[in-house]
Amino acid sequence: MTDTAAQRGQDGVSDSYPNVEDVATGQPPRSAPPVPGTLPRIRRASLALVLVAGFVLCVRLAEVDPGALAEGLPKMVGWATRAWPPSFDGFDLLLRRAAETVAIAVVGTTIAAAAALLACVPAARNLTPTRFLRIPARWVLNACRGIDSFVFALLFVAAVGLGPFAGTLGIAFHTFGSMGKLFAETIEGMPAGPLEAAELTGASRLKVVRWALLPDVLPGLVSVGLYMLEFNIRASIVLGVVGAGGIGQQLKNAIDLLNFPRLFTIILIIVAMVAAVDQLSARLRARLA
Amino acid sequence: MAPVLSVQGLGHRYGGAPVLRGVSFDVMPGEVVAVIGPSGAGKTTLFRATTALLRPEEGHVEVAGRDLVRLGGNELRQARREIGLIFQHYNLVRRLSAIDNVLVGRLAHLPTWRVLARRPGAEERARARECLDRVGLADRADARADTLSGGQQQRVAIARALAQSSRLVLADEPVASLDPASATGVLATLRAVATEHDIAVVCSLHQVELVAGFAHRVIGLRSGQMVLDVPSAEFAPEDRATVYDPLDSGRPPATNLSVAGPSPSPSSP
Repeated sequence: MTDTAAQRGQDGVSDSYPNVEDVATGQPPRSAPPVPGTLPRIRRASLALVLVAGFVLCVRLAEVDPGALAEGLPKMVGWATRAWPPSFDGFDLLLRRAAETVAIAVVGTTIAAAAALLACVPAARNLTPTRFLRIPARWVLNACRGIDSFVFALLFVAAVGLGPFAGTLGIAFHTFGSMGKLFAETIEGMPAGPLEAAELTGASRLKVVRWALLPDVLPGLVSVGLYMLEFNIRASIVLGVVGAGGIGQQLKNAIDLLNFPRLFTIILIIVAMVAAVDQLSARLRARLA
Repeated sequence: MAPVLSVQGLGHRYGGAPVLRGVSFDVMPGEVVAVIGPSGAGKTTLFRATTALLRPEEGHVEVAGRDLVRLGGNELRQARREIGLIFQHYNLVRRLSAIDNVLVGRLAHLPTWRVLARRPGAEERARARECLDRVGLADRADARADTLSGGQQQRVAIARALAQSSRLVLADEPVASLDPASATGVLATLRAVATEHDIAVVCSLHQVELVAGFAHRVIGLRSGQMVLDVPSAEFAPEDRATVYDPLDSGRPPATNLSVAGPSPSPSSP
């Protein structure tokens, strides 16, 4: 109706109720961002200098030492030659441990998904009953996301003992944070118009969310879930290193005992497992699009 | 007969500048009213006030005898059932079928468990199908909304408003995003549905040339004031000039603005 409304319409942003205040206050349109490449030459040069200096500092802090790599490389080649042929002793145990790793990821991700589905309601801007609920919800999600599965698993090994259950809990807690945030962002990305239209029929919030939001957003949520599962298969491999179950434990044992043929077999299993899950997940996600 | 919508002395301002001043009109059942006016004339504010999305500073908006300005919470939600809305961008749920979008109009009436289970029941489905049939889309009932053309989507939106069995339909620039042929078709459908079901329609339009074949009555807004209220049969070219001044960009007349610069004072020579 107003000029801004027409512009928003052209931009493809669904906004049926243009903010009349924009028009009434008569604020000038925001100035366009500077065109890239028009930065003054001196500023560009000094910026480049700062970036290079920063990178050099990081190289120092990371103690990058090509000499050490040159020394160590022959050692690794030696291991690689000793790793051939791979050893298939106790192969069934390795497969069991690999299945354990998959199970940790599946159960951990599922628990996280259920919790994240509840948490994303207060966390999403367009669903939250009040802003005051949204801030603490975001805070909790960010805290869980900020602590890695590995760190959570360390804590849970101490709390519930060695084994895959500690790993499952570790995965669940960290994934809850990541997934809740991604769920909330997916929901916030939904167009506001259809929800507004449904709400203005006088229907309750619950009905509107079930009928007008969920069908639109569900494929996006499932896609996020599959992505997290893929990620967690890889994450749960390393959990074994801290005694939280799965094939990672066998990996660490083999390294500790310098049993390279066995290590080779374990790596083969991991590569096959990750590739299979990635393929499956990618296919399912392509179908959802 | 009592009016379905009665707007009395509606006034509102944003940051000191009035956007609506003393707007009053009644709309009878089955009456189709077109609201025209240049950008910034107050059409959007009028639309927002009549849907209670905005609480006007002055005046009343009575829908079926209830003053929306005084209502809040549950009472307002109840009152909104009486108002069907049609938007410029259709606002359909993209991944739902046409018929499920029509059923959005029934959400307020359906028991909660039926909505949660997505089982509205055979009777409601049949009713929604009738509404789609009424707008000529019975054969696309199971098509996903985002596979329909703009004109078809707006027809689904009309069916949604019809399913709501409201007595008043408000349409905010319903054909602004459509090509001329679809626009005429959509407006004809809206008028036919309104006349047949005795629904009052208030519809803002940008294209003045569409008014004649569509509305019973034309209301013209300019600078927030009603400058025109005539039967569309009497809508004449000079009326168009009353509403749209080619030199006027829709700003309030100068008398309403604080005059910049030195003002003549009695002490000056």
